[in-house]
Amino acid sequence: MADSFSIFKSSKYTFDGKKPYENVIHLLYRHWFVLFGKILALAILLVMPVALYLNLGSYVYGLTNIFWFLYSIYLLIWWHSLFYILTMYLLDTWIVTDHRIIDSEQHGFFHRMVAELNISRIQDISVIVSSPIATFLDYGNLEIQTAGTEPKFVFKQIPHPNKVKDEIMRAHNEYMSQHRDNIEIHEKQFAGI
Amino acid sequence: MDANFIQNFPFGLVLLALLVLVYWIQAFFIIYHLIRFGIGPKPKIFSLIFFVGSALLFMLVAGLYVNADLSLGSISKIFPDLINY
Repeated sequence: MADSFSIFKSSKYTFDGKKPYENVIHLLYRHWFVLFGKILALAILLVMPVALYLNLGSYVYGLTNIFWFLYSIYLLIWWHSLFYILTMYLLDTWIVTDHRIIDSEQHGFFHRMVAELNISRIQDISVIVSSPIATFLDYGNLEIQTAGTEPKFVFKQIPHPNKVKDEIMRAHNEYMSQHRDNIEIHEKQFAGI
Repeated sequence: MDANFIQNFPFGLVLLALLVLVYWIQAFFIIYHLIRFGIGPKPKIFSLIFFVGSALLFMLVAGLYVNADLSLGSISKIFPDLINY
């Protein structure tokens, strides 16, 4: 019975294709402020019909039951809109492990993009904080330049980008010191079990 | 086709059933995505909250539908200038 609820408990982050020797350093979502504008708009949309009803409803006799019925349907749509926004937010993630970086972006229910970068291929990392609010709340874009002509890996609007940059660099250095000639040493260890 | 069948066909009820179906399919998509693709416990907790909220709101709508008089006669009493029934 306890196992049935285990998915709701805090755990080591696991994801599709996670290797047994791989450790998740960071699971990153966009900063909460990115959601703030949308949630504020939804909060206004939630109270607007009730405010209208309280102002105008008294002029229309007998509207009460019909109004609350229509408002409850409006609430259903509102509830779905809220969770659609939250779902897109929660599925837009960047995973930093001690072996690789995974960029998973969700653009609607049936449009999902997953890209992966081995940590050894990092050339340089830059952080872009481009607005006063982003500066105060400490969020911004983190761009990873890889070898060759491949497009940059961009972490969009993540919290504490400088701290994340330092940790990625530390993980990169550690990986390079452990994996001479870029040969995966852990594969052999786990293959032998 | 029998003319009586068309006259007696509950178009409103079928439309309502379709809307309910669309509503729960949409709810399924949200719950499925949160559980299937979400990483860590946070998306799973959100999916549980969403499911409970959806079920409660659905029951609320059903309850208010029973109480609300949606007949044209009733609506025409509320808006006599707009609807002459």
